[in-house]
Amino acid sequence: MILTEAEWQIIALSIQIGFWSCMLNFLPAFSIAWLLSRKKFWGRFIVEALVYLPLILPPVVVGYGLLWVFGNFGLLGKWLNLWFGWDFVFSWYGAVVSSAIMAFPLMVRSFRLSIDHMGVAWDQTAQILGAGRLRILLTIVLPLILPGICAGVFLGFARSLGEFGATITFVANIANQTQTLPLAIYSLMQQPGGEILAWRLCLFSLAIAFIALTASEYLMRRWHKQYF
Amino acid sequence: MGIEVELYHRINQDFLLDISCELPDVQVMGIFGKSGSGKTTLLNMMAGLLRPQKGKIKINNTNWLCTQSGINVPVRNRGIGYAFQHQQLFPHLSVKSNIFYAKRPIAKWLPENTMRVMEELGISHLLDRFPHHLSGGEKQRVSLARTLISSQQLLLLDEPTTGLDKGRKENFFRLFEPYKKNMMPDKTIIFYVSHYLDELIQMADHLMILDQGKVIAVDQKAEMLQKHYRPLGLKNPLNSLTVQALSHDIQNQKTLIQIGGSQLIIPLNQEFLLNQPTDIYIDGCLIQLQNPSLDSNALSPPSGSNTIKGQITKITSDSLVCKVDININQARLVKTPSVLQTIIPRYRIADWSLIEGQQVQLLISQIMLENGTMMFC
Repeated sequence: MILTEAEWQIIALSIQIGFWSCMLNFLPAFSIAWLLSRKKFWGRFIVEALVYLPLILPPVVVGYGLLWVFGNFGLLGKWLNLWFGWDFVFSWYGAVVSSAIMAFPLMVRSFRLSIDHMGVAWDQTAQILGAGRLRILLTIVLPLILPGICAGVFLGFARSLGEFGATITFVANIANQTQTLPLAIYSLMQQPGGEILAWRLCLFSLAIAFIALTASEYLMRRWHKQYF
Repeated sequence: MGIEVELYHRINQDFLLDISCELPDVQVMGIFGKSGSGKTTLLNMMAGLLRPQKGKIKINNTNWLCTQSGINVPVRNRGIGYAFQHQQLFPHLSVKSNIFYAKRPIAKWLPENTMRVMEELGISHLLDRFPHHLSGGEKQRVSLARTLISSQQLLLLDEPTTGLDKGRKENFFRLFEPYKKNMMPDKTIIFYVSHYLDELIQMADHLMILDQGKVIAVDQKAEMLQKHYRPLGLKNPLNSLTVQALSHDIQNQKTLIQIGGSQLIIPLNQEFLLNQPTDIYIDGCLIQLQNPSLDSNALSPPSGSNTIKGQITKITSDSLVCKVDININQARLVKTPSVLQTIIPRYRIADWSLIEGQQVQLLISQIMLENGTMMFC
């Protein structure tokens, strides 16, 4: 199946948005996963609820909320635009933010599962052997949970690629700017004769999602088998 | 070397850890107790992995923990070696990387010490392997090597011989004495947890008995074996003595040893180094008190070789039996108490008119070496 230039542009934009949404999510998702896995604190259940909220909220609600916060007249958007010239609405940056928010719970969950499975024993052993926090993170924690991290990133990337409701609500459907794969498929469906093109993009989406899921599952199983 | 420990921690409704002990002169503390008595919890608190609700830990005059004043030395700064019950080897690191993970310098440690430890534990050929390629016993030995090589101030051994066969266990015990004397930094204290009393007898100089989170008794090993033998699972007191081998008669297969003011002949055993103090143990029920009213010549068995002279210092009644303490005069070898304790039927006290201060002869039929070997006399 040879893709047209227009199709490649849509795919390239989707990959770009997927990549940057994973980058944006990585540190916060890891930090929150670590916090929820290792620390006990008051209000923990509130944090958990907020983290997993995008999984069950209608995506349109998330998109609408983003407009209120990051829109040009939004609570934060107004000032970000004024001070830095950042404009989220109708731009691919906005698409990154909406995709990131929708992918966030999946990444947190995946990272947290890895950290939970790893447990505290090796961490404690490394402390007893005199290692500091940074050395433990770099030599023990990250290597042991790396497959789980990769699995979480793949899932997050796949979810970002498939994001529709929040993206179309927040940043609209603008070719070469915010028209990701799902938005392009939606547009093609509205056009007479666009079904075949829509199908082509659907197959591509399916392939990416399938590869991401199987890679994620493979890595988790292999990690579990090797270390446990 | 000394430890001062006070720990108070309620784990749940049914279990309260309440330990208090101060021992100014301890090198190896053997901890004995049933499963669930709090042994591992105690070790975890000593390591700093678990913080008690109230407590104080002082090792060699250094405060590691004082909940009242907010002192809590971080785990990584305590200089601990900890051999866990479940090894905890890093699965993604090779055996070599596991063993040398701790990068802190150890006082007195020489490169040949590392070789010695690895050879005795039989792991030199495993260095390039990974933990998931090792058997349970191999993992345990690697864990022990890592612990022995990395400890500075406190060495915690939680059932260290689990999974080791008899030969490997003997190698470990054989390594332990030179490790303590020549490799371990001075003033390092060892906590050795085991279900096996014979291991603790061999390794420890002090014993602590835990039961349901509380210390039943803690004292020097000899005192514990004699006075607190029942919580240790013994039926009779086990008397600890220091003896000296005077000569080995290889032709006649016998060894002459000095006990107190008397001599004993035992089967040839060249592990008794000549004129060097050696610890042995005598079961209180295997000491026969001879009737002092009979002719003293008739008392001696033909060889006259397995009797010890002593003086009764105390007689304690205990239902149908009496505990009789007998001083055997070990003035020259004063490391362990000179008092043997034996148990005799209560009626015999009256029949033989035994009184405190009386001179008696003891017939010894069996002794136990530190490694648990029994020898007939």
